[in-house]
Amino acid sequence: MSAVTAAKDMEFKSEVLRLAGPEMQTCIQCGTCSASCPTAHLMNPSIRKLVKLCLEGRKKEALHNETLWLCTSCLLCTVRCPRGIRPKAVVSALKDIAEREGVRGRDASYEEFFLKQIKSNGRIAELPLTAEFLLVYPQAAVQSMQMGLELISKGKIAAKLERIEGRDEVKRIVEELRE
Amino acid sequence: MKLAYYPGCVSLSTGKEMDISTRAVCAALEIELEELSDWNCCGATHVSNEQVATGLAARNMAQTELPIMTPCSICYSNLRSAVRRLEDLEVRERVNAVLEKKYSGAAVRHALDVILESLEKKDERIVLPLREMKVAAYYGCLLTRPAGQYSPQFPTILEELTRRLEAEPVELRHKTACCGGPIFMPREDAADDIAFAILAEAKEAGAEVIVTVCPLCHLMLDAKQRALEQKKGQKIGIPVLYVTQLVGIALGLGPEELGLEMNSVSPMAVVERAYEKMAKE
Amino acid sequence: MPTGVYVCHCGLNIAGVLNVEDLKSFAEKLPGVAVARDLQFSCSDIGQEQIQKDIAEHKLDRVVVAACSPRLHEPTFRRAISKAGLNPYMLEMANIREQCSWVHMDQPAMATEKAKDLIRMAVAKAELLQPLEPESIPVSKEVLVVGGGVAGIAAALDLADAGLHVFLVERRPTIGGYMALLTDVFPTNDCSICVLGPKMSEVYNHPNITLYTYSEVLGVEGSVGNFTVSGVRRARYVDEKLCKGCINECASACPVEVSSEYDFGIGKRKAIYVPYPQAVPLAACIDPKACIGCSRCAEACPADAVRLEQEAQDFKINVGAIIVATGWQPFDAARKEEYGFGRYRDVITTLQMERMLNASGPTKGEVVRPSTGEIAGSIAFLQCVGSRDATVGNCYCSRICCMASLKNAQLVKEKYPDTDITIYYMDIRACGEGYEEFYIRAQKLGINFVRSRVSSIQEEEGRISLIYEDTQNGEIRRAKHDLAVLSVGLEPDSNAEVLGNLLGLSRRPDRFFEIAHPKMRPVEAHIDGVFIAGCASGPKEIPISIAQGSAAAAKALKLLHRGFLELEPTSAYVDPDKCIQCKLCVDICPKKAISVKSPAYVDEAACKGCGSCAAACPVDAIDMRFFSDQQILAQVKAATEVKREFPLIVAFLCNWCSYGAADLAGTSRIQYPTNARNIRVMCSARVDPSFVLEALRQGADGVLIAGCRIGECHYKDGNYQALQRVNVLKGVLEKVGLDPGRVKIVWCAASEGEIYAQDLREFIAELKAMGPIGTELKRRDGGQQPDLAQPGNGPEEGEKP
Repeated sequence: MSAVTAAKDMEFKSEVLRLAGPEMQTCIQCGTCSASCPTAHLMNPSIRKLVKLCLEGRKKEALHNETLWLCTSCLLCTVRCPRGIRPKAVVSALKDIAEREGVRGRDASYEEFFLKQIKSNGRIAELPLTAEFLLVYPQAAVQSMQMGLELISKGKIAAKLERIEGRDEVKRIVEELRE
Repeated sequence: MKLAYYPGCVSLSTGKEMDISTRAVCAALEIELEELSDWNCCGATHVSNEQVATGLAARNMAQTELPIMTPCSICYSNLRSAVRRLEDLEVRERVNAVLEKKYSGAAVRHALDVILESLEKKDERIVLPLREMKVAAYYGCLLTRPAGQYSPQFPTILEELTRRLEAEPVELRHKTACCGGPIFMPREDAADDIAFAILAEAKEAGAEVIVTVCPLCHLMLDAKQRALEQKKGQKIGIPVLYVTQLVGIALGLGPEELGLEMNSVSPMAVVERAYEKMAKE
Repeated sequence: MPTGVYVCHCGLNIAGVLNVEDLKSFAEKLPGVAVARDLQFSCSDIGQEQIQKDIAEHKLDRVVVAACSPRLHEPTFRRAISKAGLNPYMLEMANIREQCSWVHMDQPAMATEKAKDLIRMAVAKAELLQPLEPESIPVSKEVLVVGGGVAGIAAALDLADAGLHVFLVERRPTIGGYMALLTDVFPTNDCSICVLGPKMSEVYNHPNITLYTYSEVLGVEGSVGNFTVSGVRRARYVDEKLCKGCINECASACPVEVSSEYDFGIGKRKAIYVPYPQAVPLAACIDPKACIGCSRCAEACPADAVRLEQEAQDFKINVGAIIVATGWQPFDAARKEEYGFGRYRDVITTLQMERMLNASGPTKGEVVRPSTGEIAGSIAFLQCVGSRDATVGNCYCSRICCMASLKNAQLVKEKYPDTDITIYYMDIRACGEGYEEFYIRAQKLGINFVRSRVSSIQEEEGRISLIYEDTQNGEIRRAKHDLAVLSVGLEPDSNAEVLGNLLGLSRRPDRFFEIAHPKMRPVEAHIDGVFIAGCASGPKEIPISIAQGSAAAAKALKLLHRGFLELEPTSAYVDPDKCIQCKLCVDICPKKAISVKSPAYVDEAACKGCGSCAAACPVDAIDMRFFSDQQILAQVKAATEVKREFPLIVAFLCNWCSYGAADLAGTSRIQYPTNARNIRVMCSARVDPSFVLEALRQGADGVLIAGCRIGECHYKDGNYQALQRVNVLKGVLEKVGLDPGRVKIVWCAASEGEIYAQDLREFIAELKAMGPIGTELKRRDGGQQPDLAQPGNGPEEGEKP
């Protein structure tokens, strides 16, 4: 590894530490997080290894993996970690960095559309969100149709797009607070 | 009691019955709700940047001086996390620099806790005691996490409320396990497996009703139940009620007041059984 | 008052930077100085002899040595002058090495000027020194040991054998502590009670030990050498002397059965019971919470020893020292909800395992599944339950659990060779003589080790199911066992809180009692005459607890064996005519040395000379025998007499931390500007606001007060008190129109030389921005002098480069 890439990787490490908290450095690789995770069996690297990758500054491996997008935000890892680390916050930090650096994919798109809708309307409506998502990931169509039919039959799809008064303020929150 | 009410985005769509029943039950219990003016989305589980998530929550909380109640566990968890982060004065200053109304502290409560507090033991407003009804308490993740008022892994407040309605709580091993909801769009199979495990356990435990406190859990267990049954080839057929719907039934509120007809798996048979039982007694 | 001044070269350490010749001739001209010399090495024999010779020849009655830090050689020079017939307290040192030559190496001229000020300050203080005589007080040669576990037993026996009388007070009805309940103990797997039992009997039979079991300490008064301790001996409802310890006659008649605390919930006892067969004293007692008062035990007792009407008895004793050996309690495993202790019967703790393995325990040595009573064929040990775990607030390692599980696993394996045993661990900590070998032995016995931390336990199909990640191969697994043993950590005994409060003991963040120094004083408390042994100050294995018990005994013996105590004559004293009995000092004293008599009275045995009371007294009725108001004010005046640089800073440094930090900056050769004139005080709380005001009035541009880091004060919280006073002072400065920034308080540990230097640099920069003292008044009033400033000492005069 050249000195230049090493320096850049350490920059990545400190960015993750800044976003997810300095406790991360105290990780003892005990695996409590992985063994608490409901989707751990699908993850590679495991959440435990993901923390290690960040601490070693291995940016590429830390950002380009399925693990980030399999996190359900259930926070079991976070309430159980014996070092007070918040593994879910590590995942969020990595997603945030990935999104900022333009990492693309179906999962990133879903999050992107979600945030875009908040930014422009202040609230979320499932219908347009799903529609936009299906454009990038048509494989979800069957499920969405099934679900859509179920919800429409119960009158639970919002008919009109809700837009709040304070849209500009919300837009500023999204743009200015995200450094 | 007067509270600010934060319904959350789903109250306008997939969680309409949550909103309807919350308003109805609060009215019946004389809890006055004042909807937060011009509230915005809390970001759910899809805003990765904590500062942004904190800002979104802070804008909502800055709209009122009253304690804020929400029936949605995701909103609840997000507001609570934000309150904690905003204790850091540096964070607060940064966030307030962007906000029009400034955040200066807030009290956040889940509807579950508000309702339990307003119900007396042997409350005479419970006109339909749910005797012998086997209710599986399913908390999901975000009512109790990050750690706060309740045990983050083995809470008992839903069981307590169930008992107060004279129903019989069914303990689920999975009661604070994840429902898979946050990843169900892009990661359907993973989410389905997780959700089905909960339904299967409730079935095995003999639950007649599953009670939830989160619209995403509700979506996974109720709206998706039929699809999951087909996919896994196992009949479940357990109605999934919001806690506000369950309380509403016991308070004698009608199906339309509680949005019961909006549930995918109809709870009407269970409700009728309760009425029949009462009539016999 | 002929004073001798000695300027040390210290080889080139001082002379390489400072103009020693110049300093010597400067000193010669100071008032009261009879002789001044420069010495190559003042601390050497030759140097000391020169001083002693001068004392005789020039009839010196006080000596100033300008050399290294008084923290280094003050005792040396005190001894030297005392050999020449002077009172040892007639010495003052000017620190021109650590706090001058070593830190101003690149500015020799300015450094020499600073050294002159330091010498002038030392001579001014020396003028006011008074001979002090160490006072001695008679002390009690009796010792209280609280806690009858292995540490307390070791302490009591050593003291008693050495001829001191011991009162051993134990909360439970028997001594022996947790060690008496264990099965075999590591690393030799010998029987625990077999080695402890004889010691317990020895305590019981020792003529120099008075044993109070089932008793508690409820009050402590007095101070080192003379504590008055009161307490209560709870009623056993059995006459201890009459009871024959036959164990079963009374208990078998008793109809009430409850869970036995000595078996940790897996065994039962009756309402009348002997804790275990080896209990000392071997006498029954009745649990009043369980007893229904049926008197069947009284009828059954062949010795007629049951006394249902017995009442608690108070006791009051006088002791010279107190040894706190209050021990530990197991972590409550139910707090780790994910492990299901209390929900699943086959999840047990180490202590329950110990009792099961114990041949006289509730299962007679069989290791069974509590749910079925069958022998457990597959056992999991989970390490670090309640230790190294931030979620339960215990970040520390409990130190004994790895070894305890290795030992229990070996015992099971030896008894039932076919048992499948797995230890789930994060790190195996086997640091001790023979410990790593013990680990290897366990591995060779075929015990499995999985590096993981179990995330949760569930019961599935009647078995215990563990979920974990094997972190060595990255696989997430579920493993089924018959029995899971939670290796619970050690917490401080919650019952010891009362005693801790009575004695004023401080606690570390881990809640164990804090010792006076984490390395150098391992069995001493912050309070004189109080010692701490065993697990009261943190988790420890048996041999170390015993060593600490003996060490505490030796410390107590050293303190008391002569029958009197020599007191450092540096304490506070009250001028009874001035005292207005406001009691401010009583509340503020960290050693509880001042009593509310009228007028206030300082217990000089307890006083450690921090001086906070002297600073707090609103009418100046309290002064210190050493570091007196007059002496410090003389130093302030001398420091500001000639103002050669701007900004001129008068700095008060506490003896323990910040003065140490300034010394360390010197030994580390950290370079910083010469502006500060340091005055050593025992504690930052000694700094009377009047010292600060006087310094500013005399023309100092700023005053720095430096104390130990918050939470680390050597007198508990003197630095908080200093902070409060500084805040008030800032208000005063603002009122008179001075910039409140001219007084600054900072914290540095003795290890933080760089921080001290940095704080000083920052303060200098701040003062430069403010301008010389009085600038702000001129700006405001167009040149009017401040109330504090005196003509002739104006800022302009001193404003030379």
